[in-house]
Amino acid sequence: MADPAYIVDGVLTDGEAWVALGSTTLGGSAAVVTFTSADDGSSLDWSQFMDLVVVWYARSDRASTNNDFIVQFNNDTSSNYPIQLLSGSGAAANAYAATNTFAYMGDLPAASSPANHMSAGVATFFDVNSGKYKSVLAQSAKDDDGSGYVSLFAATWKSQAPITEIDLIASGNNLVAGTHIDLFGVLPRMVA
Amino acid sequence: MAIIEAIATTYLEADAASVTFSSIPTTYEHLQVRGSHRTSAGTSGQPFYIELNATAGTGYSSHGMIGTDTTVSGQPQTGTAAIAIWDGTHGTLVNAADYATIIMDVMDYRNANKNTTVQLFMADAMTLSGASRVTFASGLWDDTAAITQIKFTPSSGNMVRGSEFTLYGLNSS
Repeated sequence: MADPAYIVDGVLTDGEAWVALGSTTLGGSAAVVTFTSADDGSSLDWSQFMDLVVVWYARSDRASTNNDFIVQFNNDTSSNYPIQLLSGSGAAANAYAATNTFAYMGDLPAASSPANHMSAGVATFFDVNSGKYKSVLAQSAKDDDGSGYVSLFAATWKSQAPITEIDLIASGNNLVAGTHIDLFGVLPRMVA
Repeated sequence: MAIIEAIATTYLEADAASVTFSSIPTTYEHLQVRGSHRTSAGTSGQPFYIELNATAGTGYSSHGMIGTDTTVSGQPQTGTAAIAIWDGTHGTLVNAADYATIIMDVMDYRNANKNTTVQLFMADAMTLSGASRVTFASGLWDDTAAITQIKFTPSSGNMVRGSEFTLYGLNSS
């Protein structure tokens, strides 16, 4: 694959801070959408970025009106993800904390939701190449004509390894056709 | 021209009392700060202050909607010397590898006819059971000056090595 126009001989020649790393629009149901670092020094190698951002519009096939949209890093399925939720549903506000085998991305409409409804969200994964635990801040919006959720999720992946793989999953179910997910890398600018 | 440009990153290699972006260029429409940070204080969550244009006084307010463990709350502040976010960062009672996070949007920052209201998403103390916190907040500076400087300061202790803030500029075309 050729370098994008803003990279010449491996050097960034444009100040654009957000770099498109991948985009998936599902043509059929899928259990997981995976993004993986190129790990080759190219413009798609995640090691050059400060943060990663996922922008998504998605729906699940679960036999319900709701399904959790979750993320796991580097194939880690152990209980390494403390999470904190703040959400609004109808007239109620809710908070919740736990330690999970995944972090939350948001809430998905599912098979019993109105036809063609999807939910929207944005998630940031911070300082993904550092020796810190990796932090997640995610917002999502889901509306089912009179019910739904608006949610703010935080999580920490208790690993000091760089993030090199992201698995996005409709918990226990499938993401449906039409689900659209984009991944961006966010560059820093180190100045003296 | 790039739509979103990284203006500057400060990545602390040693502890520091604060992090400041000064002489912010006037060539963008909006600003965004993204960062991760923790402090050297012997605290769990602790307040985090955001001062604009090196101006203290009493001209700041903030309003947060907060989820901590199973509790939902609101946190108003007014008449403060900086935008004050309650438990916006954390100290040494939290695992040393766990850093608090911030995303702050400063819209129309160079306009000198409007007071400045910022939007904040933050989280801290995720690995400390019962103390984890996620916050959606506003911050107001009751002044119409264009924004030329942004300073981040914890309420006690220093920001420690590895704390990081990047200032981005957003163009309209």
